Amino acid sequence: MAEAPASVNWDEAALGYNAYSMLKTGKDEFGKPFPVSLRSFDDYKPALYSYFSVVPIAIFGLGEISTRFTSILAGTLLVFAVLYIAAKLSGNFRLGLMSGLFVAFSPWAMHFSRIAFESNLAAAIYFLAIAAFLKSPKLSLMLFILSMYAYHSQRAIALPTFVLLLWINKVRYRFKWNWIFLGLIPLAYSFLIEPAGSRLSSTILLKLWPFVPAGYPWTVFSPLYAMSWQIVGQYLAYFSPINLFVKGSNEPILRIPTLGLLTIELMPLWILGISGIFKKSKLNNYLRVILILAPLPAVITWNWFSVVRTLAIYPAMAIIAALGYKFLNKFWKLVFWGAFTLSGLYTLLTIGIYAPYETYGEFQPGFEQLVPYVLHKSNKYDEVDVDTGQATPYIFFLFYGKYPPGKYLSEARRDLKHTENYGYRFGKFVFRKIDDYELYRKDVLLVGQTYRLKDSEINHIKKEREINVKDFYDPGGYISVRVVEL
Amino acid sequence: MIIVSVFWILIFGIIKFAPTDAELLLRYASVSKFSAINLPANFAGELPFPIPTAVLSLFTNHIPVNIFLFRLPNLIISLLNLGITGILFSTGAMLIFSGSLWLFWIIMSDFSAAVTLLLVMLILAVDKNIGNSKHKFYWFGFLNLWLSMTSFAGWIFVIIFIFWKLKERDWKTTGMVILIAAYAYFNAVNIYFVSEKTDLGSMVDQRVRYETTITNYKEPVPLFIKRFVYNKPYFWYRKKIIEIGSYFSLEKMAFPGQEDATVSRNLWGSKSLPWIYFWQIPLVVYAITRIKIHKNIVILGGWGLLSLILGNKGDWLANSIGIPLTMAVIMGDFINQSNQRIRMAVWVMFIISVIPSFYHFVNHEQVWRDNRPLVHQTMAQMALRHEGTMISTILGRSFLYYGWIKQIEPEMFWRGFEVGMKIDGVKFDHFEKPIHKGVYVGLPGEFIGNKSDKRSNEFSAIELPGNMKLLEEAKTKDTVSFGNGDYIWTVQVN
Repeated sequence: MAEAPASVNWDEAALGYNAYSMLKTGKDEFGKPFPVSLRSFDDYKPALYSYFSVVPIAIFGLGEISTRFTSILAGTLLVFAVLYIAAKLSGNFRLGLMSGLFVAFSPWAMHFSRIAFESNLAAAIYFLAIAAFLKSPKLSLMLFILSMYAYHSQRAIALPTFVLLLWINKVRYRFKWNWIFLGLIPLAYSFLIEPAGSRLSSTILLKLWPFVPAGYPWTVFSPLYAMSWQIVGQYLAYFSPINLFVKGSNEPILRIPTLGLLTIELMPLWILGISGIFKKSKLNNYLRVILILAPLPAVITWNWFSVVRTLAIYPAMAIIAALGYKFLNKFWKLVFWGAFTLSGLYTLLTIGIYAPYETYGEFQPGFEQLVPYVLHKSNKYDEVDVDTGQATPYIFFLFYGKYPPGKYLSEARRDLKHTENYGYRFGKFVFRKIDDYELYRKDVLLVGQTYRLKDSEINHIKKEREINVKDFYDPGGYISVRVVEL
Repeated sequence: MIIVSVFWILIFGIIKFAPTDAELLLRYASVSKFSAINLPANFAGELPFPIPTAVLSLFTNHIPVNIFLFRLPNLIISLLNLGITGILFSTGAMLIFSGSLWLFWIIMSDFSAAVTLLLVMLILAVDKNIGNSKHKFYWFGFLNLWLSMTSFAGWIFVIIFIFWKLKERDWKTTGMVILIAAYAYFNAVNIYFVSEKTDLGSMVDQRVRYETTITNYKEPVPLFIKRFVYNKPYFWYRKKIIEIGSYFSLEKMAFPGQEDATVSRNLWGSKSLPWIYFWQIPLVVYAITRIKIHKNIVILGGWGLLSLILGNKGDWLANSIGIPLTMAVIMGDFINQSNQRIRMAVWVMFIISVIPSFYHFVNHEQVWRDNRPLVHQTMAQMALRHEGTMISTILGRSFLYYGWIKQIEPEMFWRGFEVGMKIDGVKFDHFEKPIHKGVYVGLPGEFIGNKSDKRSNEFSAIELPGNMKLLEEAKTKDTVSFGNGDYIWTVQVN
């Protein structure tokens, strides 16, 4: 859990440290009590993940495992929710078991459950809400509202899903508007008052308007036609087998080397299953609701195939593949299980061992060894200058240094924008560009990459005086960062 | 549509769409009167199938094979295809199919695929319309024999035909067609099944790579598990199944340029075309649940998919022509049983899609096609205007185009090819800052040094040395010139 992926990335570190900060001070890293959104790197992360992480961090201490614990638990619950929904709605436990199995062994579920990721938590709560609907619409509504605090996408689909479920089940539900309002007020406040709402305006699809390149006559190339083409395309991208079974996500961190989102063996089953999606059945009704709504949060943005915004659709795809299984005869069932077993093992090895090596560049390994070392050495210095090349390196110093949140809140220069590499400081830590000549300074601890702290300069200085240099290596065997004590 | 097609192909098609290498090879084979063809060994992999060559020779031997009538055979065969679609299936299917850019691509660049489609539809027509089993048997034999040696997709249809007749327990026809398929395999098709050996070889490398990576990084996995999972057949299986899976791409079919996109790109500006109009995908999915799926839909759909999966990736448009035809048949059936309002909606969408798509096809061809054939054709045309010329081969086989434009006899052409690439007194080769006297046709970088030599992106005739004189200049429409400039120059070296 701590080693695959190779380390926490900056978003995970932020979620973990904010949870730690709330545990110790009741406030986030900006000193805001009971936040709905975490300002973090000005990306306003939904705060629910951090709230849920407070308990594991309290028990295990701040670290990779405790930060990822919520996601692991969410991924596990998701498997059981899918199993329950498929079994209950089809009246066939084997179908439920198979659906759960397909989710459990799908690359996306394995990968996303190993990262501290709000989207994974939101998808799990969303499916728990659907499962709860089969027992209690009231509990279901509470969970749908809760899911809206977990991730942005759910804000667009949670309540419509609930309403559609009521409609297709012909359930007469008397809304208790007062507590629905109460449940939504913090969210509405966050959306309207905080700049969190600006995220939508910066990623909205309409930025591509007029959808026709310059120089093309609008009389022939209608922007409306082009927009429809684009929107339908963005929707259908979530049904394009190549995206689901072969390529997966292209985005860093979400990329799983050599694997799609679902194992490739499920593709023929999925095609068979989806061909029957229009048939009347209770399970199909539920699946259709998910298939219609789940891609919508991504369709309105300018991403072509955004996995993170549509995580709720992939469990449904696994159920659809399980539905296709019944079309196989005995021989093909045997072939399928043989291939699926091998692929399951391959997926485990790839995500558990191969991927952390292949994609380590997308994470930030090295800080876990670097930060304790620097903190230890920093006792002797009044200033530590950091230029590691990554964006927002300060969060790793807070996270891996378990920096006391109270102390941080009193020291941090929050007036300085800190979403970039440079221009931020707290305590004795200064995050800025280090120039070549600074190696000739004294009484300072420099932390940077080798292109800043060059061998040639260091060798030159070593001729004149004794300096201590310590290198840290990435999984590829290259020096990732260097610490020079001057 | 027919009038538009004829007009467009004869006028725009000729001007904008220079023939491809494959088309020219087919023409050379056909004007060689089929049996006299003697392609050099390095063209063996591109040897045209015998039946289209024979069919084309019917045209080439009776109609002057000039550039203006270049694609007339494709057009005639494709109009026949459209007509048979209307008779065999429905008028709706015919109209939908006539608006398919996929079909027009076939008309523009693949005669074999057009003939394949014709033979496939004739087989379906024979099955439907000829009652006499004896006549049927002979017709099936005749058409399958032709089809099996028309294209790879044609041979795949013959294999499907075998299963079709097996299911009908028609042992006599099955036996005959098995023999035909085997004959065709050894005479025309086996050349397409040679890549598997190298695939298996590369799997060994991949296994070593994975094992080494894992061993170097962390070693928590027992060797027997690694050997169990990272084995050669499994890697081969993964590679093949991923290869097959990669064909199932809606982006490839209907949303050009988005296949590897993270951020959405502009669909019209893409270097590809929507082979299927986007609204047709949900319509077909919905229509399948509403219409009666008849035998022909299963056969044509299965044929399209199987040819797509098994065929050469580069020829996927020609191989899988069964897919748009099947979709057209499904939509045609759906239109027939729909009410007036739905029909209207479909036809309105059809017109809205067809007009800009064809406009794009004709007018923005330079956007979506790397037009190397046009560069070669232009080079050949420029060379014709000057004596004692040398033509550059920096972008490929320009000699095919020279031979075509000059209407050189095939025997003479191949003889010239074999004796040092000198055909009709014109030499074909790379050159770099030529010093020998003569007229040269090539890219600017070949005369004055390429971008990296010059450290500049600009190419101007002023930079030509004193012994060189620019005689003619044309703009290239190919996006790749390996840093040699965006013009074709004819230069006299003194």
